[in-house]
Amino acid sequence: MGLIPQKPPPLPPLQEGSFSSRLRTQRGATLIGIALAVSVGLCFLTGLYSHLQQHPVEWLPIPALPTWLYRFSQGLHVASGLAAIPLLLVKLWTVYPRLFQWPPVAGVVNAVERLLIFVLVAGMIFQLATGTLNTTQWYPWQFPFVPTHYAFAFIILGALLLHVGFKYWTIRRALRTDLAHSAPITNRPEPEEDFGHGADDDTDDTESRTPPESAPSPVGGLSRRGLLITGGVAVGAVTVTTIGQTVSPLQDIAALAPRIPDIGPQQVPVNRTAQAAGIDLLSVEREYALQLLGPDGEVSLSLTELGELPQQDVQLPISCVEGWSASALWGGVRIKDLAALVGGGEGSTVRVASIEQNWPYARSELQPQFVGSDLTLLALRINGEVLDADHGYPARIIAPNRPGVLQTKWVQRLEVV
Amino acid sequence: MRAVFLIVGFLVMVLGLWLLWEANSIDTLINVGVWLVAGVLLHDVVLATIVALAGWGIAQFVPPRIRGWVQGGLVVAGAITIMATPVLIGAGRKPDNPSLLPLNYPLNWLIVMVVIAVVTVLLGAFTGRRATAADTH
Repeated sequence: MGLIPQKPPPLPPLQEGSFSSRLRTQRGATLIGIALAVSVGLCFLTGLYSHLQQHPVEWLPIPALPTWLYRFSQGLHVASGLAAIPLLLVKLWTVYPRLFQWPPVAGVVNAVERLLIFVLVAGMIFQLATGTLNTTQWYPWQFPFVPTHYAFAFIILGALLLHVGFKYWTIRRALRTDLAHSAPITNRPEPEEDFGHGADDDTDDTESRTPPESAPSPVGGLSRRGLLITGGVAVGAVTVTTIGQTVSPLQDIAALAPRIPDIGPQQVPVNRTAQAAGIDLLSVEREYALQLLGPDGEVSLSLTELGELPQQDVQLPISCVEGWSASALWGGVRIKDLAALVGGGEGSTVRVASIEQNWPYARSELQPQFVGSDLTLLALRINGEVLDADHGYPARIIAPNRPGVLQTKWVQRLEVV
Repeated sequence: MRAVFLIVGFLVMVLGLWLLWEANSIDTLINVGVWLVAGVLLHDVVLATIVALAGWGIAQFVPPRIRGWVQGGLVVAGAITIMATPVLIGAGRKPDNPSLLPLNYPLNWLIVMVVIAVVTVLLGAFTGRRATAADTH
């Protein structure tokens, strides 16, 4: 008899009181929601900055300094997105009874609100899931990732602001109540929020009818505060095991990071290898020459001739959109000096073309502030060695405060305009 | 103030929906829809059921005194596991690029789980002993 596995008892019907956990409270949901909103807000702003980097607008030029700005902002983008995962899970657990609200729709306003919550929840799960998959370069879908990710950033932000608008008085009430006396979240229909005048009504008696959380609880388990602390610890754990991909002193404990700053050819990670880019190294060895075009005509420079120009070393990070970054000492010729050879000067823009063909990022553009910077190089060396093929041999762009995808590798031509 | 949230939220969301429409064809929009619905089902049905069953199991088998620690440890371990699913599956790996996903993630995940378990047990034992000591006074 004892060997027959016991079936779990059937789940109770979803009626009033089905969700009895005393951990699900209005105030808990609000506090977790605020933490989630902060992480989503940081993710949105840093994402917008990255978008601006890749789609520059004239009226808001990206500065060349500080050199670490993109490294910081994109590291924060991925870290805040990963931190949102445990926060979203705790938030959804807290409000889960609302999914089973009965009756499912209580009026037009309630119907609109529930539809918007579906958009918010589905959008958040979508954005965090596809974003995290992107950091491992796994794209198991058909839609274009970058513009869809960009669109969902606005959809989510909009749905979030609308959600705050709909729950406005609930949130304000919850913020005025202490956790022990906060109203529980159940599947009972909530009184519809007053959309008319002066709904700031503190006489709502939901709170007073709520028995305070008895401490300690007779059934044991987490307290209401304990649940929130656990959410914070989960954020910390997720961060500690991944942040080393961009904060290199912590790389030894980055157990679950998709990248490690000193693992790669010449101790620097690579996003796109020479093989993936279809670079024919034999023909590069045989016949490489950099083409320089500008107002004063055309110049062709062999690797030897490039080596004879004044050289400069700069310490700059490669900062990838996928959230990892690694600093290196780059050696090469200043773009400014190369542009001057063909008549470039103050205010010149340089268009960069790679040997690689047929890839959206095979071309890039250095705006005047980057061309003018002493830190912007056509790099020939990394950490004192000739560039590895995967780092863009024979020559690549390295400029301060830029996404790695714009640091064009295997440079074939520079056009000064 | 409330009107500001509603109006700005509406406008921002419409902008996002327009961007989504511009970026996609009907076919890829359907694919987006599949991902949206699948994500919700994965959470609302699969994950929620697992969590509910775990909660039921804890209530049945874990003594009340350490229940909170077990719950907390499982929440942290579960969140990390969900976050790490892409690196654990490792489908993005490319033979030409060993710098992508360079670690032994299943082993590292196991170590992280052990660390969480040990820390949870130590904290539970420490606070439990303190509580017992306080009781005897």
